[in-house]
Amino acid sequence: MILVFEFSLSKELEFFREVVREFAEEEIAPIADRIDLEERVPMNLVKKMCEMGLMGVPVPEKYGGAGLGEMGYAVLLEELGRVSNSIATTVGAHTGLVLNPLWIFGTEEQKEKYLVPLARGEKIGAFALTEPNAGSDAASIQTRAVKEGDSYVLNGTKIFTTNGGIADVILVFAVTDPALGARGGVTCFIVEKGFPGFKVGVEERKLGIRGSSTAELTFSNCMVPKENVLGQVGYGFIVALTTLDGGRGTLSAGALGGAQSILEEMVKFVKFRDATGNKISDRQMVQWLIADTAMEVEAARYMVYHTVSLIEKYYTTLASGKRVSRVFREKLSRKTAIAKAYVSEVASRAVERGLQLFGATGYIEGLGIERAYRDSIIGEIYEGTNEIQRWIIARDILERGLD
Amino acid sequence: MGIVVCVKAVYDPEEVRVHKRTMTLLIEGLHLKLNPLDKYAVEAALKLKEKWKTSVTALSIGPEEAEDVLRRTLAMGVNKAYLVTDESIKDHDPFLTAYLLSKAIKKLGDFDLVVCGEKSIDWENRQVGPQIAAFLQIPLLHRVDNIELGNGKVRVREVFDGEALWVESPLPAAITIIKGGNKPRFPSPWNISKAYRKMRVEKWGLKDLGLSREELKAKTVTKVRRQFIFERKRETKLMVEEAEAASDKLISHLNKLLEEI
Amino acid sequence: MGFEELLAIYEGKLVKEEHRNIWVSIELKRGEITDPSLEVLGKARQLADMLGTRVEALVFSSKREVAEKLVRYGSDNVYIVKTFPQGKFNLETYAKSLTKLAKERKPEIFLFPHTYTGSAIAALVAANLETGLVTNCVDLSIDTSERVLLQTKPIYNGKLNVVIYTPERKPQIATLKPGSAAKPFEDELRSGGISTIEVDPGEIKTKVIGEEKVKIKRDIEEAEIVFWGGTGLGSKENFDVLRRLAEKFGATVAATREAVEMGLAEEDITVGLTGKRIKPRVCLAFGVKGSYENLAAVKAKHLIAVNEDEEDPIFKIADLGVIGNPSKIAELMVKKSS
Repeated sequence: MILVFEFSLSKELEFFREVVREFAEEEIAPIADRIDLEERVPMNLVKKMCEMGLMGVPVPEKYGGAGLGEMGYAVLLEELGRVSNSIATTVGAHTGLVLNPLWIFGTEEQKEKYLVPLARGEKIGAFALTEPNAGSDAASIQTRAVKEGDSYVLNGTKIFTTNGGIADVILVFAVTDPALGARGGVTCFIVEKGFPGFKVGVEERKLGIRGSSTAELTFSNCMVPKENVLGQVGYGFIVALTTLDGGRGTLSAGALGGAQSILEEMVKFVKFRDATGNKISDRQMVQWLIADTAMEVEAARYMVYHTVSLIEKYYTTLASGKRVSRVFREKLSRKTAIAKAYVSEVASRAVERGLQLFGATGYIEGLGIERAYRDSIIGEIYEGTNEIQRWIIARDILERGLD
Repeated sequence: MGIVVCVKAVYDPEEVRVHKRTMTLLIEGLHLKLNPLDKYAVEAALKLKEKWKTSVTALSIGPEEAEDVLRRTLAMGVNKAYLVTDESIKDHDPFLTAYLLSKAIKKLGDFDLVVCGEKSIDWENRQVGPQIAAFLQIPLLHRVDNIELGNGKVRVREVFDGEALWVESPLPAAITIIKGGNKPRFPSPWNISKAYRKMRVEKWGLKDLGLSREELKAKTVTKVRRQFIFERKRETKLMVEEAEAASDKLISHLNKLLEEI
Repeated sequence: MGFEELLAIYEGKLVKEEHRNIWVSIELKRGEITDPSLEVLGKARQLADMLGTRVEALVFSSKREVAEKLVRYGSDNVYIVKTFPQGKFNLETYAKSLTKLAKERKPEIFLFPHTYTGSAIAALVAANLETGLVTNCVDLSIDTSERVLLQTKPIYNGKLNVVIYTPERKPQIATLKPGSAAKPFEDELRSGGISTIEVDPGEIKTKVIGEEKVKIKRDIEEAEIVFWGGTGLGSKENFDVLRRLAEKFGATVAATREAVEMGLAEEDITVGLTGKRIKPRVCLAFGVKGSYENLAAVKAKHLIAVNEDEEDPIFKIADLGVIGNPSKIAELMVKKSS
């Protein structure tokens, strides 16, 4: 019998998962609450992750990465999300939103100069698109870049930039030609922390993923050399869309990890209550909480890895300089929107059920349940709110039809 | 200068279930893992490798699937990996295991140290390491958490029940490793992809070791007569005693438990 | 047995089994015979009676009292083994000496206590004699029809037990897990032979060059024995009592989150879902109620709980529960174990 739909991770990636899980359980889980409480990622943890090579998983080896592709990167995010969404977000913004576009659109010089140290984890990256007046509606960004000799002068403010406070290299999107707008008027620049005129503003305090840095970045007459244009002038939107179309898909692996961990916690808790004399496992109410979560986590897992396998194909094709058909891109965009919205909601529902099951034990600080509750919500908001995702999905279905 | 580290691919006892009617292990769908103490053994060998610029070879015996476990040693930094695997090796016999491993070590050529984990978590025999030493006719350094090399000699710290001996031995020697100073490293993703894409696990069958099936049979010294489940329900024994009596009983109970290894 | 066979024996054509007697390797601690060794001796006695053979104990000690005691505990014959170089314990010397003796004197069964040294020596002896060994046995019995030793050992954490035997070779060697046989009674009237044998173990390559006390591991996650204090201890002073007690048993000290918050102990020894997770062999909990936060982080082979309230959840999970005042009991234990 041929099982057409059977798919599983390669042995290499299964092994990678085992290793990341051990690392996450030993090095991150014990301090996950502290990361949340102190609202920052301890530098020695970042150092350990760099040493281990977790900061450049998908990037090919010749650029300092591990060459494990988007699938490997998804495995990493799932396992990190399982113990701390703050860490998953930090690594996700660095890898998915900075390494990938540099790898796909960067010149060899840019790759040498920026991608290699970033992939090795010697530097941290951030992706600055959102502005006070341009959130999910990225077309209305106002940061300006004006050419002066061999440089561009950037002026404007970016907000809610993940890793903004800790980044060494920032991809900044600015308007180079207001007349053209989104189509050809926006350019992506590689900005170093040390460029004059660049400043990190306030760091936001948040409901969840408190350990990840979210900062305001200001550019006042910030000089960026013209070699630091990523892609081409006017290609900013292509860079952004390509990055976000894939990035939100792989990032859903982090949400999957969060849901998985809640499911595991629920099972452990029920077994504990059984063992200490209060048998709750034979209550249908309890069984359903577990069964419903298990059903959704299973669906989410297939969805995530299926989608990520397409993203891997998409990115490797682009990085090799080949073109990707419009239909494939549209299909992918819909699929990643579906995965992003669905899996983040699975994670939120899992955590709600978990909280009901744990009751007061989960409501208080310390067991990770209340943290997971706060941490899960961001999944429905960042990289385009779920409302935007639904709009993308519906628009694509109505325009292009069902597949 | 060469170090051979012997490792075992095991099923995690926590994951294994037992079929109550047939009294057999249910291992279908489970992954073989690198025996936890063997990770420490690999780490100890790698530390020596880094300090003394020597090479480390990992060696295992087991089913074909044990190859993945050897890949893990490669990803940790071992130079070469060999798996002794043959359909005709079916029975569980630690004597035979130690014999075959010692044969394989001889085939590998010159070596200075053989390093093993002290025990495996599945059968907990604590037998293979010492018996490899015996078959190779080299000294055994047992329960070691600290190794120093120099002047053609090895000095180790052996730990027994809270007391430690520093023992010196000429090379070559065999060492069994316990937990302690050698916290295993996490293989980096770079090394993981290298281990899977660029390195290979050499496989040796009986023929490669120059053995026939008859010899294999002759070296199988034990037989399993039967297997059974002894259901031990975890039930609390409650003691309500005066503090005096309770403390006495606790001390003797503790001492009893501490004698178990 | 058929007539032909009987005739053959009578005519001396069939040599009867040349291996006889059950040997027991005795271990000493500070000059005293250890309990696990006596348990093996007791088990050997039972087996010998079934086989109609003798129990012979081997001990590396020149003290006659030790040998006499072994006789009273069931040994028909005691060999005081003198080997050289004399002095400090050396695994290699012991293993080579016992190998040599077993080669010469051919026991049918050779038993060891399953201790760190016992299992290693047994392994070396078995390999040298090219015979079977089963370690960590929880039961030993005789299949009288085939005259073989049936050796039962737990595998996969006790999920399954296997019965193993060594069909053709002699001696049949086994190590017996401490606590799996009863310690025999001392019979003052028992008599037996005591003799001293000198063995030349041959070349000894290893040399003991130093001894040291092993410092207690502070690394809780790796600790084999953990003493775990909770709020039931009540005060910092009582927590110090627990520390002293731990010192005596070579245990690592841990605290519950609640105890740390009460100021009884430092943050870095917290064991719980919000602290460290442990997998010790033995965990002794003093004054730990056993909330989910506490217990979900502990996977102990043996969990012992001392607490005042019988209703505490920890008693539902512990292997042994003592109902009483934890600090009082800890204090008494410190006194008694010094």
